[in-house]
Amino acid sequence: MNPEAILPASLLYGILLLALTAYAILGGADFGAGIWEFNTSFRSHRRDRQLLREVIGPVWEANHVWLIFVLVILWSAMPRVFQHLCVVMWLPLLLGLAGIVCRGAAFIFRAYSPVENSVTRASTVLFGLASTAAPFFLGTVVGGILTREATNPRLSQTAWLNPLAIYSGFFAVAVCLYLCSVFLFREAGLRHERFLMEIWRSRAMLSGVWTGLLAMAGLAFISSEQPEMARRLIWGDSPLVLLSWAGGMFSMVALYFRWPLAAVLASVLAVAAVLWGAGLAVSPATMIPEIPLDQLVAPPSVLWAMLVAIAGGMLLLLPSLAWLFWLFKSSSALDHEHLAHSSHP
Amino acid sequence: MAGDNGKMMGRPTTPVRVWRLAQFQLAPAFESHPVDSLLIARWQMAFTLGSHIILACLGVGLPVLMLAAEWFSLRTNDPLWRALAHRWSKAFAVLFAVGAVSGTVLSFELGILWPKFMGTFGSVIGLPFTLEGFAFFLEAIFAGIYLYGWNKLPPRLHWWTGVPIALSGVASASFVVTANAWMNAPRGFTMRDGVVVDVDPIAAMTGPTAAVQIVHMLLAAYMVTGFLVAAFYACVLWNKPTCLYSRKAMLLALWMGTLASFPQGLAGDWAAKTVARTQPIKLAAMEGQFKTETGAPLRIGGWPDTITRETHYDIEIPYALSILAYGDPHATVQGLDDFPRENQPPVVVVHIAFQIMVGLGTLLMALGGWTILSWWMKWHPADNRWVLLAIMASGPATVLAMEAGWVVTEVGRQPWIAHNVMRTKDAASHIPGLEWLFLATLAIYLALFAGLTIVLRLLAAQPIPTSSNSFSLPAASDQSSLS
Repeated sequence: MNPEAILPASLLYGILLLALTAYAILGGADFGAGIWEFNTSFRSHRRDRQLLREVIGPVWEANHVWLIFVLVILWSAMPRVFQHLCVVMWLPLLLGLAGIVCRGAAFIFRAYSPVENSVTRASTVLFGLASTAAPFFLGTVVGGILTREATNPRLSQTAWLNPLAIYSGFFAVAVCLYLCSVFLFREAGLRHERFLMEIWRSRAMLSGVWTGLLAMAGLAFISSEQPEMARRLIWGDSPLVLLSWAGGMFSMVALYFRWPLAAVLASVLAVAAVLWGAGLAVSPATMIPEIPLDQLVAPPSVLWAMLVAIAGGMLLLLPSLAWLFWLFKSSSALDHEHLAHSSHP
Repeated sequence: MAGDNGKMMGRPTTPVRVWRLAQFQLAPAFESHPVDSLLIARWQMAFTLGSHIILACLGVGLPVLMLAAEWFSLRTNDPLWRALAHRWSKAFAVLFAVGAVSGTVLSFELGILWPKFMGTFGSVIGLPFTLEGFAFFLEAIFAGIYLYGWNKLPPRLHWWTGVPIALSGVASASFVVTANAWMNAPRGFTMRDGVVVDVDPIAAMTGPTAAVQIVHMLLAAYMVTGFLVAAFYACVLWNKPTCLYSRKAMLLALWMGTLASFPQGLAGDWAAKTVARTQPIKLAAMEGQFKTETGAPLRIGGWPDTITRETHYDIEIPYALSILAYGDPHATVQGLDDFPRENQPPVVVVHIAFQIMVGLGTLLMALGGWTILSWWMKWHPADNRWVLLAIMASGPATVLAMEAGWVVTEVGRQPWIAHNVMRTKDAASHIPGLEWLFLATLAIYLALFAGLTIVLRLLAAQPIPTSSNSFSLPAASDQSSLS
């Protein structure tokens, strides 16, 4: 590979993984809200559902943009990889896309419809279904990449129907449920809703245990199917799977002792570490062996221009994003609002 | 087959082996059919892009209207202006969200429908898309702050949080159009054995078509928003001509359309001159110019006959095309027949679409002229039924004109996806069942736009607060009212 391209290409791959992680965590928690609402709709009470909608209202759109960001970096910095993925994974990508479209539209139609009617009722069902479908199919894409069947010309079109890919779809749904419940445990606490806090604590612990079991089953599955991949995942250059395991365990402890912020951070660590482990186990070079690495990544001039653009963009983006989350997700801003509301009943 | 299969898979357990077998059985179903999928892929792209553009235009224009209304409300303390700003912000929220998801569809489709194009040129047009990603991100962030911040922020600060929405809307539209401009005049790279080398991303972004396309598109976005919103309130005023709220709303929107329509005439002329320079074959198709001619006439209307290679039933203005395109009555305008047949775009579609765009644009400019005249004469457009009718018609007309403009630039570039560099058919994907994908897309978009219409109508049907006493708009009530 062109030695000049190694540094910017690695930097951009890191940024790509970071953006993917942000999408998996923030977007994943949003998906989780839809899955939870769908699965508890017959048992939950009004305030329970209301909190689910309130929490994602101001931020879901920004959380969703991370996906666009991932796509754009992928096609600009590694156009041939993007091309290959689109050719091989077109069906799960389109199905995931249909999920994203339907849930976005359904959420906004329900949130802004001033009266309850057939549109809002259809939206509620669609929101739940699509929120489950989107992470499932996006998960199969990631799993399909991990299996490397995508590189086999005969199997490439069905790489996402591989057992490991299907497993990854289910795992992605479980991760969304787990993240969302931990986040809502904190959000309920911020709004001083003791009762909801307890509900979400038990949901978080349950989904955490379930996700952990699923992860362990997955590791066993991968080691029997693809010992090489398992070795790289578990004993690779960095023990990221162990880190994820530790994060998951600590989030359980934090939930048990009712430490909301610690639980959130630990669950984020658990999910991020899995993604980074997977991201380092595959690299663009191994994905499409028949194309030399030189042609897989964009020329250095493009990579550097993108890095400059991203650095400049982040200067605008990060403070704005921080303000958004501070306004709607921080205890001080919410407390302020809480007081304002209680003084004007 | 079993041999390399087993080697590839490691040592599968029995249920997994059964699964594998099924996977191999399924594989042929995913291979491409000999059906010509190019046309369906083009329809799919045209339909999703054509739908998205309307929402994108409103995403650029509505923030300006909403900021103007909130500005007047801050200045005058008039509750009607505040109600208007608040209602427009809700409409913006719904439209922006649907626009965001329909835009996501396009990012996926670029790769799924045109894999070879993205694989080859993704890096060349990557920079504008990266910048667009940031602009869109900022728009989404500030949309969240503005829409949910009505009660959280002091009024003036709240107004300011809307400014980045309007600015990043302009920025993201500009960056996307930059990428399209590159497709019309590709530069900033060298092709070697089918691979791009020596890429200069800045040169690729600053091609000769970029500036004019951006200006033309942004003005179109403001015209679409202005006339579409004005048309909506004109419909309301048809039955209730005294409704003060709708009168204010219509006039403000009408002014936005008016102010954009006059510079649009100049931008259109600039665009035609640029096309003459960069894509003479597209200009020939737009004008129905089959033969190369010195002192070419401008053809208004007419039907280009591709068999006799002549345009019939048109009104010809002598020398006008040479003057408009090159500023010289005796300039030579190249005809379609100067180019190989396989490089010619479908001339009928391009010529008719161009006539529609220019014709409707001129009529909209006339309506703009009437708006200025009525302001001079202190008339209100709502008091004249004929003008109300014209404003009602201006909404669909402006959308049609904008879509026709996109048909001109996109169909006029065919058979190329990147002008003179890559043919559309070489870029297209060979996935099977594209026709089913198209049908599914039609169904989903139909539901999407039906839902959008119902929700917007419900929002519009909410009672208008008439005095400041009955008027309170806590953001929290938006949430509680629906549960």
